[in-house]
Amino acid sequence: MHIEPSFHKRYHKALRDTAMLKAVKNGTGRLRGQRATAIEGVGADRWMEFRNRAEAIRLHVIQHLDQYLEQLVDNVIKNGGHVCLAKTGEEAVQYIAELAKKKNAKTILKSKSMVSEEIHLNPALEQQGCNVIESDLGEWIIQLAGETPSHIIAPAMHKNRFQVADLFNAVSEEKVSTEIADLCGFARKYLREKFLGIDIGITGCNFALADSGAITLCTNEGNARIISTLAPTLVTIMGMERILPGLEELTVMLSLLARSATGQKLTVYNTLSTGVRNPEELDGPQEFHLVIVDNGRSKQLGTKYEKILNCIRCGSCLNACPVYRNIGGHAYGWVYPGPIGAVLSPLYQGMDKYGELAYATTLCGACTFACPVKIPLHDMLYALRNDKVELEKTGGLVEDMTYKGWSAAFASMSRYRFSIGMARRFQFPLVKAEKIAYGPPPISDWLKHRDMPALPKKFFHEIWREMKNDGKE
Amino acid sequence: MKASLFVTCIADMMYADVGKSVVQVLRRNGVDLDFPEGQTCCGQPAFSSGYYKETAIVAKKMIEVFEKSEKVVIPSGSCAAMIHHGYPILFANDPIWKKRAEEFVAKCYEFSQFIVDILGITDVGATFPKKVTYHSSCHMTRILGVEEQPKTLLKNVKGIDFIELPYSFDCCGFGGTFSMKMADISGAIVEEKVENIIGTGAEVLVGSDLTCLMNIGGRLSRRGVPVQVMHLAQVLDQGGGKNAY
Ligand code: SF4
Repeated sequence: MHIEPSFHKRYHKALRDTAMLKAVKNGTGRLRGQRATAIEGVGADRWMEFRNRAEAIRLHVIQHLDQYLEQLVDNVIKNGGHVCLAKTGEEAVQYIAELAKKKNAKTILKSKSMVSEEIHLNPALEQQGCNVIESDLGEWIIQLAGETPSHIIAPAMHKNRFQVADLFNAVSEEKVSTEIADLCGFARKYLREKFLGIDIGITGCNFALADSGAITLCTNEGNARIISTLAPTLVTIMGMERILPGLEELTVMLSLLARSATGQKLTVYNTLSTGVRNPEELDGPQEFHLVIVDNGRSKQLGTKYEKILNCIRCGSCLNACPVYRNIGGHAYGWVYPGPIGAVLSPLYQGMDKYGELAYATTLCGACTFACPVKIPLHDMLYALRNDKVELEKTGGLVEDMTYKGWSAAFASMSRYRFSIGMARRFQFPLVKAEKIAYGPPPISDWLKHRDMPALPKKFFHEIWREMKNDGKE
Repeated sequence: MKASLFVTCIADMMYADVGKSVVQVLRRNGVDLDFPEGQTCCGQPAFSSGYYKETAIVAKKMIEVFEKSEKVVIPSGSCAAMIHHGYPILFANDPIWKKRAEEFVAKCYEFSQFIVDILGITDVGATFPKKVTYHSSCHMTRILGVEEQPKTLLKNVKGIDFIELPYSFDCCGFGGTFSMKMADISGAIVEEKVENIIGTGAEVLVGSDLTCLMNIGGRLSRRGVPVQVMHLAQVLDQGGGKNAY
């Protein structure tokens, strides 16, 4: 999919796509409704307790990340697996591509991995002749459409069933109707056949458990567990922060993840696997590779953004975000959309490329309050803006001058009163019926969608002079 | 009780009537108000644009202006939130100003919070026989944590027909400079809000933050929707009130 480099162009394109916006509003509406019901079921106070516990667990893990990583790696190797610690996305891709070559892999089935999107794994494998098939419904739909995910947990949220039927009909011999049951039935039949020819299976990882080296996968369709059962060679890709100490912590995180993401008490399938099959076992991979990807993550350790590594990719900040709901996920330009994306993209990919995303938010705080692990997303967005001004020494010439002028004027009552007095005097060409409907930049942008009240005949501080001695009015 | 009024720049320059109502309602409820000269703005526009240094210059001024005040009442949820949440960030590395900022923060109250929590009043004796709905401003509810107080006051107004606004907690799309920088996204968000307001059939939309009201009111006005927009203080100022002198 061609991604337009300018955020401005991306979101304008999104704003014109009414079918997409309708689908996204429906999808996020459904998810946040389900989440609200789930929290009601638990009770607000207990939910807060859950969040506090989950936050503590994540903070602990991130603070001891090196130690847990070491333990995880040791245990995976002890269990007979191989580990690749990839500093960059390219390193991870190269490792997996070489493995595919070595195995002479033709058919690769994948399930649930945002990281693989992050490192552009599919195109690299396809280039060397592999047939890479996404096995989860949402991922498969966007693969057929040649697009990237638009939501963390519902990658095809932006599509309606008519669009999905068109995509399916392009690969189907018989006509598929637009009924949901038919669409699901077709996908199941089509994909199940592919599983039989699997050479390599690739999955993501919700959490890796350090004390056992087990990989946890949470899914509602179960395809990930088919892959981890059938594939002779299994590769799991994970972001280096997706670690928990052990089962006890996992139980806390699982129920929180499901409730936050879809409002379920638990996801339908929660698979734990420790890689290669034992000699007496009948299924499971013969070879297991865990690829642990850094790709900008370790840079956040010890900084004011460290807590971003607590993210468990539940997607609830997306559903809560008024901006996301009105522009959809693709407008964000990188794998992670919504508030989490607005923080992650500039941090991982650079301010120069994605700095604008820090401004693509109303700073309403809905994301922070939706986040199950209490990441202060909106504070980070403030901080990113401050970084832009302080580190780059500029927020743009016009803005620099505006705020320098603003602070000079507003730090003194007389200058402040003088400035607003001047504004009142010079507003008259714009005022009509006590309203302003047209004006010069920057208010022209505001006035595109709304009117502005004209400055009144008397400011409050002038009225106060009259009221001051009223005492009792 | 003695209190100082921090009317905020938007109220001062654009909504003087709101300031007037704030004064009248508070005075009727026994507050001895003063208006410290020198006050201008809490600093929010520059702060949310990332200009912390510029913000600190103005913030220090406000701290000085209200140094002698016992309590400070602010008819704006987001400005009160800015002081409570933003000032500690601004002065985190400056021990002297940090302390002064903390003292300031401790005495700053949003208007409805002051009436309900400090004065202990839940019915100001206003009368307003209209169909009313209420928009919960983001910073006031999420950052400042003031959620129920304005609704309690509204529901106790005589004759009022209070209708809950669906998705009342969703942002109106103002977001300071966001509404200019990302004008079209902001337009789409405020449109969603306006649709929800129209759906309630209310005659009046009430809020506790003038910038949200300016945004929503501006959209209603542009679309020619005849819903009146009022600050909570203006509603509480209606009908004289049983506590009138
Ligand atoms: S930032 Fe929080 S709410 Fe958003 S995806 Fe991550 S864990 Fe979920």
